[in-house]
Amino acid sequence: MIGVWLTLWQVVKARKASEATKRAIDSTVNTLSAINHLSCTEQLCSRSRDVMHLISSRNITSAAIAAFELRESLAKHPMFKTDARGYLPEFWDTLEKDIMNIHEALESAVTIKKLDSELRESLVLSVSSIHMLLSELAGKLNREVGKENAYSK
Amino acid sequence: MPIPNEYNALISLLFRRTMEGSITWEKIAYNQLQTTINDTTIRIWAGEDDQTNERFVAFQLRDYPSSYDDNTIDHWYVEQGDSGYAQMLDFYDTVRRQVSGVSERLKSLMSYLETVDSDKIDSSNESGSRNPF
Repeated sequence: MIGVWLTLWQVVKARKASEATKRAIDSTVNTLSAINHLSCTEQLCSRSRDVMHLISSRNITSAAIAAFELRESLAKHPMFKTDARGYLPEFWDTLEKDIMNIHEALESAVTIKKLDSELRESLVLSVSSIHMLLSELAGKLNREVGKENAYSK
Repeated sequence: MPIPNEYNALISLLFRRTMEGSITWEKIAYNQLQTTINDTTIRIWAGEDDQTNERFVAFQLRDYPSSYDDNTIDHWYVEQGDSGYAQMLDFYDTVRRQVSGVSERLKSLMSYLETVDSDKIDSSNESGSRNPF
């Protein structure tokens, strides 16, 4: 009889240990995922900042290349067109369209080597809005990484 | 740079067809306007060069459907003072008005103003500004 109770106690103990391990693994996976999302978003922020500086300094050829790279990085972002972390696919669709428009406008300017002054101002404003959106996302992810770390301790 | 010779006839025809309403243009990003005819997309835009302050109208021929590769077939621009600038600016403005639905808006306004009683015209606004006349 004692043997049966001992076995049952060991099973319960093993199950609790297994659940604790699963929680620890889930927490680690969430932290790693948040770190990956944060790192990719910081890369987007860096690229959008480059685009803004290059347009401001009237370097349209480099700005067009940087805009293409921003578009490419966005497409590779792990949260792109998913509903991860409460960001709906529509958020990414709008962002993609806005960046595509900026890229196309810059490419057209490059073909004739002329950038309309009003267009330049509009582009700077558009890129700065995109940069702010991405920075807000990075800030949110940064807080989530902090939270995950606190839970895992 | 004037309008390239091989484009003169095309621009006149596009202008005429746009005026007739048989070509529909759309606004794409920022100040760019485009139409697609068969396998060709035509894009035009205008502005003032940020470096030289020269006003210009640009024209671009593109392959349709577009691909990720550069699909520009040809491009050129005319600057203020070039022969053909006034014609291209007129063309651009006509397209811009068509895209913005200016004609329909004016017709609607005219129709309203012609039929409504003068004391019923609602020209007030939230800021409370008054017509000084």
